[in-house]
Amino acid sequence: MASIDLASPSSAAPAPPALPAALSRTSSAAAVDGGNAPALFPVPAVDDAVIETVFHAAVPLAFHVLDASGNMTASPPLYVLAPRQSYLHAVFARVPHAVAGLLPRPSTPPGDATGSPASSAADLQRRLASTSFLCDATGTTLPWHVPIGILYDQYQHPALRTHDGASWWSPTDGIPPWRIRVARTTDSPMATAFPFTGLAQLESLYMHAVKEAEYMAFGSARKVMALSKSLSEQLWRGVMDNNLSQVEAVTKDLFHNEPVARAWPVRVHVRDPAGNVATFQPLLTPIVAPELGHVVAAAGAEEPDTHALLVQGIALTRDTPMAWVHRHFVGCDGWVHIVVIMQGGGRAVEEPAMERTATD
Amino acid sequence: MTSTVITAAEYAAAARRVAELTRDADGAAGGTAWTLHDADATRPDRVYLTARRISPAPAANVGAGLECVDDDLTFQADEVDVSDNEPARPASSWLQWEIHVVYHATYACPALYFRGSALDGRVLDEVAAVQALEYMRAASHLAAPVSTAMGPFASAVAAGPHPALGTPFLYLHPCQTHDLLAPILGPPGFTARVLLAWLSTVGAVFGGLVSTAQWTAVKG
Repeated sequence: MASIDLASPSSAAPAPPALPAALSRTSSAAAVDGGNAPALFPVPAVDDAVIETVFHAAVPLAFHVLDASGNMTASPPLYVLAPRQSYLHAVFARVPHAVAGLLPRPSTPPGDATGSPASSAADLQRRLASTSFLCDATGTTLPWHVPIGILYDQYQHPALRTHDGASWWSPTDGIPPWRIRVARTTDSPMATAFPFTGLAQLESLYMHAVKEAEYMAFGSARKVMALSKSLSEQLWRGVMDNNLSQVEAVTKDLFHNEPVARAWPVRVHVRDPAGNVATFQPLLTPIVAPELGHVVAAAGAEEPDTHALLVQGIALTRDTPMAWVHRHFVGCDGWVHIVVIMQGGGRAVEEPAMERTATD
Repeated sequence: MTSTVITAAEYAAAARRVAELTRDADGAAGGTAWTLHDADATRPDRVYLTARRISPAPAANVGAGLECVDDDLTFQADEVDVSDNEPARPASSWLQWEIHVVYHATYACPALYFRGSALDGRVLDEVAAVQALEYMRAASHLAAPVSTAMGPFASAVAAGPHPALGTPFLYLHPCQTHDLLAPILGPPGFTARVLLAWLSTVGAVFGGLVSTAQWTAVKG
């Protein structure tokens, strides 16, 4: 499996230099901008190694189970290397035997932290439905409908760690697992506006996100609507299995056979210094916003105030061409998710319990 | 033909006007009082309207598909407005709906988001909510079904993040809204009248969200 060092900004996938010299014109296509005369813009050369590396990227998680009183149990944490493209409940569902003993049955009386292992897939689904996840550092209930990679960039990315206000971390610091508390839904500090009821619900939400992304990019969702049942199931299975060939077999035709014509399918998640995250969805055509900086500026994130721009966990510069970003960094749901960390948004790093090397 | 792309600013202005016009709606005449949520003046796409409705629950689904309790949705049974002609129903056979009108940035149009719950605050899951909507639709003699239970997009009801709140809600999919509005959009563009016209159509599934008095009160 290709690996990617999420910790080091210096290992960010290299972006081509500014337009237009560095982009090879493998083809060109017309784009219509809000009724104006069609314009031409280059389609970037595709780097399959970047796509594969980004798709298979994973983040280390450490799940700590809480008892009915909200305290950590004596059970050791469950360590998982979770695909960025997956979802918290989906990751849990892939390790049923390890997890079932940790999750209480929904009907378990208060004070009884665990139940017997899941006896069936249905039983596992019921346990999953009564489970919520909280970020240990902030106590925030993590939304179940957001891919793990985006949550990680918002709450735990190394870019958030500061050393006495200086820029981030040294590669020798290592990446500690993201500690996540596992709690029963009724015990979570934040009431859920719409409860998680099962992986089928997650699949439904995912497919609608894909449909919306196609509409955003092309002004029509006909290709997604025309997907056969087998292809839509294949797509979802590919996301769950972190299988690039299964996913690309569907998404390539949906998103990459023609250049974006209506607007970039992009969501900008801006994390302010207080740790609050606001999401913007600017409507920007490729003509108006050829570079990443144009997109984040539309979301109000001006350069002097920005600490880091993260796409798929990789810090990019503002002059990175959006066509290149869309082709290589688009998520499985068809959206390019940009996490903007504003200045002052870092938090003091906890010194790891290890000796530093002489090179630090 | 006038473009049916509706900007967030146009939508926000129309939403504010609708909130003003419906402020004193008493519900008994069929009108709905809409509450405006406008926390950030710099974000017209975050402006949304909310209202609540009560509906009878399908008898077979009372208590089914109900998940966690949300204190914000807890409702007192004696606040249920029951017509004198209706036979008395236990509290468990009523559902309450929290309905939001929001601006959908992707489709550049208004969209109806909602969640249903029992009177004790337990939220309906997606399946139970669609069943309850079908029950209301059948009672209101609407022709088109809400869901045909075939494929991921056969249902007009989808689940997705609320554009302003970020938390998952159910919503009526807005992909056909532009076709719906095209015949009625003209100068001066998307106004409160157009918003009410849209509400009177999509709101039919909730038994109607616009009264005749509200409709005639809108001027352009």
